[in-house]
Amino acid sequence: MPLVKRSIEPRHLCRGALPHGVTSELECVTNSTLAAIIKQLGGLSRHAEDIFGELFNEANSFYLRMSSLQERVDQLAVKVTQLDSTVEEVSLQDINMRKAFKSSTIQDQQVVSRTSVPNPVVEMYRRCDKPPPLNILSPYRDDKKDALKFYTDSSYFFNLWKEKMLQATEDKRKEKRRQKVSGCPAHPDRSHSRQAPPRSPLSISEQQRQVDDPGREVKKVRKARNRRQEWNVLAYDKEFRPDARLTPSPYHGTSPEGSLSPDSRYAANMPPE
Amino acid sequence: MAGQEDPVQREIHQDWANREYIEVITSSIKKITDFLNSFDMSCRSRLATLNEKLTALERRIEYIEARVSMTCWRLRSCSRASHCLL
Repeated sequence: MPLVKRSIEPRHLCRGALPHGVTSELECVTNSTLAAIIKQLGGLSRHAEDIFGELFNEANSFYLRMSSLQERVDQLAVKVTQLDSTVEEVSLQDINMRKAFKSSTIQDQQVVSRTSVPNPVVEMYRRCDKPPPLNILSPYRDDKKDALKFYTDSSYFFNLWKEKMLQATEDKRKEKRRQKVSGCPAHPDRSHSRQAPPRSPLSISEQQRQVDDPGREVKKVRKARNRRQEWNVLAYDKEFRPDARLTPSPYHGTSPEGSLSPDSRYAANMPPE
Repeated sequence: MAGQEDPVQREIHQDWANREYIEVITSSIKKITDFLNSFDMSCRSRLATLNEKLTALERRIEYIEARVSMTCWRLRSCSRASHCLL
């Protein structure tokens, strides 16, 4: 059922009991009808003022947004004119080192909330009957809960949703902990997709063992992790980058993350000069 | 009898005229109400379209600003590198 946002009172003009002792009844009815019409005109003008006020506020907010947008465009135009196309561009290394662009636009939240209620609906709400004063029975409860909340609770659905979200977050956290404890399984796609060295220390030490002399005693020493190797690989363009897919390595298939360490892979697949 | 009917008839005629006057006023009030409702709806729909376009523009400007600032940073680092080499 649609909710009437603005209603004009009185709805019926000619309905009403005539006072006693009136000589001319028709004139009396006409006068009371005209008085009701004047009340209706008063309500109508109030509603019209409210309508135009809402539209004005919205249009004003758009004007402010547009003026700030205009300033940003002007600043951008000035910045763009300062750019010099004759200067050589930096290599592709910088594109990968910089953080990816992430929009900082704030999405609308709590659109239908108590603060966003329009004025006529607030007035209608105030005219409604209040709930019974059950909160005076709260001191007599054993569980110390608010007695009115058992009759009506406007925050019930929000609390329910909040509990669901917290539960879901907790479940995800437990799942992650469980996976960490059990040891996450190796992904089969890694050997075909990424060229960067694998992140788990276990695989790096395994690679180190395979590269070293098999007769020597294998030491389980974790290699110090740095990004120098990654940068060296990325310094080359796509065509010159060492690719495990195209050049078959002698140790292919021995470990899921790629059999060679990045250093030796680079040395093995470097094109001949 | 005819004299008695005249004032009554006059009163009834006057009442009809008053009712017609009231009817004209109430129909005008209804027309004003209809106009206000349709004006409100049409303004809201236009403002919603404007809001959509503004949002799209804001997002594009943000992206272009990020690109331009990245390009400026790259040029500055390039010029610094060339100064170091010299």
